[in-house]
Amino acid sequence: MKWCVFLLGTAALYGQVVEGNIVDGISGAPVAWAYVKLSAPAGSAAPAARSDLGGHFRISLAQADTERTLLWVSRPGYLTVSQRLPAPSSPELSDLRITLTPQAVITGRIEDEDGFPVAFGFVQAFQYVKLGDHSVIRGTSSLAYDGLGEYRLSGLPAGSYYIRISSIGGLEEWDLRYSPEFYGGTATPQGASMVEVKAGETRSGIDFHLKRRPGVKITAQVTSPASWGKPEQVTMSLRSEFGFWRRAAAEGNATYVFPHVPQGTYDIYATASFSSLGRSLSVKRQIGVAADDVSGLVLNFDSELGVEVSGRVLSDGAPPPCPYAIGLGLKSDLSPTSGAKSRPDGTFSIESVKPGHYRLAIQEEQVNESPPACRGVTLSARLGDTDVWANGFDVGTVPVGPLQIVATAKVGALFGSIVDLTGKRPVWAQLIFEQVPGGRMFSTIAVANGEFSKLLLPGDYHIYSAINPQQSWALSDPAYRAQHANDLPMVRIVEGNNGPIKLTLPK
Amino acid sequence: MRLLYLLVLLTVPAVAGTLEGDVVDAVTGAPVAGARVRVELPRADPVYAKADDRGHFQVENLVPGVYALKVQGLGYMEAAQAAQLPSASGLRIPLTRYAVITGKVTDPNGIPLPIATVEIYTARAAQPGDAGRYDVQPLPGGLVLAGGLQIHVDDRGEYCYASLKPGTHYLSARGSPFSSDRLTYYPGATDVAGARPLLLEPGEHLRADMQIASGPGARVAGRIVPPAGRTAPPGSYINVTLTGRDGAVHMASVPFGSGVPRPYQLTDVSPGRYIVVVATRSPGDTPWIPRPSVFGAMLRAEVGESDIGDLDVQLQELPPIAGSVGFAEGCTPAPVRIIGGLSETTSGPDGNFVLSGISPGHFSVSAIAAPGVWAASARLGNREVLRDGFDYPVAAGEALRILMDCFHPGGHP
Repeated sequence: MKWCVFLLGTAALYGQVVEGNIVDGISGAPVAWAYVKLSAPAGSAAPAARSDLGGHFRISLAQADTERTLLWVSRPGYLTVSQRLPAPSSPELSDLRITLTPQAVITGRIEDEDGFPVAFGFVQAFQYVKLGDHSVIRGTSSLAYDGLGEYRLSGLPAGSYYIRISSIGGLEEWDLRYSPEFYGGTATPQGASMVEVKAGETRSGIDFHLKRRPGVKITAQVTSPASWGKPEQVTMSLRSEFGFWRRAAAEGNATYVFPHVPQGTYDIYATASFSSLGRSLSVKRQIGVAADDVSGLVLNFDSELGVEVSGRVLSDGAPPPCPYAIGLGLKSDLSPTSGAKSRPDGTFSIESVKPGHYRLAIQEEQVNESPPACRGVTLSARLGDTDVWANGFDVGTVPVGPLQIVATAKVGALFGSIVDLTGKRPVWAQLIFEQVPGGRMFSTIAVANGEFSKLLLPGDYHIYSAINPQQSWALSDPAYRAQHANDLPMVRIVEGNNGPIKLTLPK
Repeated sequence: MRLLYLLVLLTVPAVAGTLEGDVVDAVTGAPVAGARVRVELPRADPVYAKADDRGHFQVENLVPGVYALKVQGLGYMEAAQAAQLPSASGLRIPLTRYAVITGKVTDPNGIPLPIATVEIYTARAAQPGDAGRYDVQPLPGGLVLAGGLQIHVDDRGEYCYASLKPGTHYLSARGSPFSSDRLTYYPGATDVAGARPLLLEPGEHLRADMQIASGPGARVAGRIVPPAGRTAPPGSYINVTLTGRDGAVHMASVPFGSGVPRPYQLTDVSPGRYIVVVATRSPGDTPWIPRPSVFGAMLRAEVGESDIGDLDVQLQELPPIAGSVGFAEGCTPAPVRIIGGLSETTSGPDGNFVLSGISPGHFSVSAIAAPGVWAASARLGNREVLRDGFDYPVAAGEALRILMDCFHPGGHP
């Protein structure tokens, strides 16, 4: 049945047009000269058009070799809109109504106590947005590059914003007593004045009059074991969460000085290269600065050499016949930062792991690159009695291990390919397999020719697809997955080879 | 005698002096009211002074010595000057006004372009090596435009630069790299030969509106030919990337086939100079244990108005680059960190090194050593690559020879 839908969809796409009307979200008036663009594979031109004086646009879909699933509409003075297109067979495709929301704008001028404009200042408008269990900054920024110290923050949705100067350009070189600040004259969001703007509003006169601030002298030293030799290319810098950044001046004898630092909380970073280690190290230390000079601060590179994380992989109770790649990634980072391959006896050792909270990323050998005997899937990872597969583990100053990684070779290899509604293979596609029951998820990427392969545990799976990074993010949302559970057919995996299956991307 | 002089210096109290002078407009000689002066002090915070309505300033309580001054005036370029006390009095510090350039960038329909970039160039004489650079545009008369000052327009398509050094400048504007907008030189040329020089006097305010030209780009196609008799891991594919000076990146992927030339195609490529990088990728790449490309190639292409159908690329092996580090006379040999082609290594006790796992592309060479030691030369084969970098892959066996220099105890570099 799905194939019938696919054929109908393809037939409907040829010779059809995407057209509709664009209106102002506040007045309802037509928006002329809006730029409308449809998605297209990389390397090919994206079909596009402009709306006419009546806000009407029309894009002919004469070419059959592009995927057109997303639509963008932009127009100076409005927030850009992106949305999915209706199905090719839908009558809605030729009667779209796009509402553009007028942007809000905040403008102002930055000057110092002498009334001189702050050229090359960097100004940001931002909000703290709750995302899961932590807040993230969302906003826009502007560089006051014009020499007049004027800034213009555009493209803002209606709302209340903190405005801050996160860089004061050359003013800091002129006089160290100036530092970044929030609108309202504070160094942190606490006590800062927020600026509220409505859709379509331009708030002018949000001016900054930077003041020279009192500060203290910070003196810090770096140390390292004598056996490492003299550190080379040592640099030391200091930064706050809210834009203050400064590099220390070297005073000899491994001593570094920050001459004028305002009150606040800072991270001090030191980096150095050690020829004897064949690598560079960096060390960080947090300090609070009050009214008095700070001295006697020592940053020890020894603490940053890192420790060993070791363990063993067992596949069905024995060392795996082929190596496993074991990666460690910081929780805050998407990509693993260090890793190692398992040895023939299944043991592994990852060296120089710095303190932090890490998650495991274990990759078995690729399906296509190794004989079936090498196939395997990780079942669990434990550190002592603690299961660290789902939530990771902490690394401090002592070696970590042994990590016990349990895998199985009783797996199924799924082979397949994916095409879009036009029968074309997508440039990029991510596939997620969710085991039912159990909920364990596996992910793979279809390569350039639309083909994919994946090792899975035997069982039944829902399959979800994403053809761009935004969709990819959405796949981590259980609600989104529930909504799209039937977009693609379920698949049953048995031990050995499965497929090949042919998937058609949903509309 | 030297000891006696030192004793005199230590025992005779220094007499505090005053540094004073006038800040004037370099062209008219008029006083610059409200100018401000920064005086550098050895091992102490600088002191500041502000000029009065007559442009006059003074800084008191300075001990005799040589001082570095920096002077700023509203709308003026910063000036630097040295002054000596006690003999310095009646300093005259001329400031030159900035020129100001403003304008609006629109598309061919006259609609403001909110994501355009304006570039302001000062022409320079052509140099050896410019011909192969995709970011250098030749002008008539042996001049070139390169490395301009980039300004982003605001959401209304407007730009303003009020800190421009007076002189002759050229202007270009470009829209989105992923559109049919063309790089356009003021007043409206898509060919750099049609760029008009703009002479700006001190204090002059020039408005230069620009309408960006537009047009469909060319099709660039060809075949990727693998090395004869060589294989890559199963599932390998080939990335073809065209990178233009305006930031435009065109990319295509095709499967790798041993002994089988693979056709590729890129569409809507705007005219200009491009770097073409072709590299094999393996589906087994992991971010933390990356596998270098097995084969690759790099070339330069000039795309015009017409389609190119025969830009064939012969894939090559990607050889390591072996090399050696030498030190100028008087410098102490030490290990040197060498970075090139996204690969990094440290020279051994004998000064030798090998850079491996390099991907195709154009790269610079960095040689990092102790403070006071720097790379004076880097020769790859028979060409100098320290300033302009090198294209990779290189010919097999081409060696990289780096010469380090240093400050000598006498201060002589």
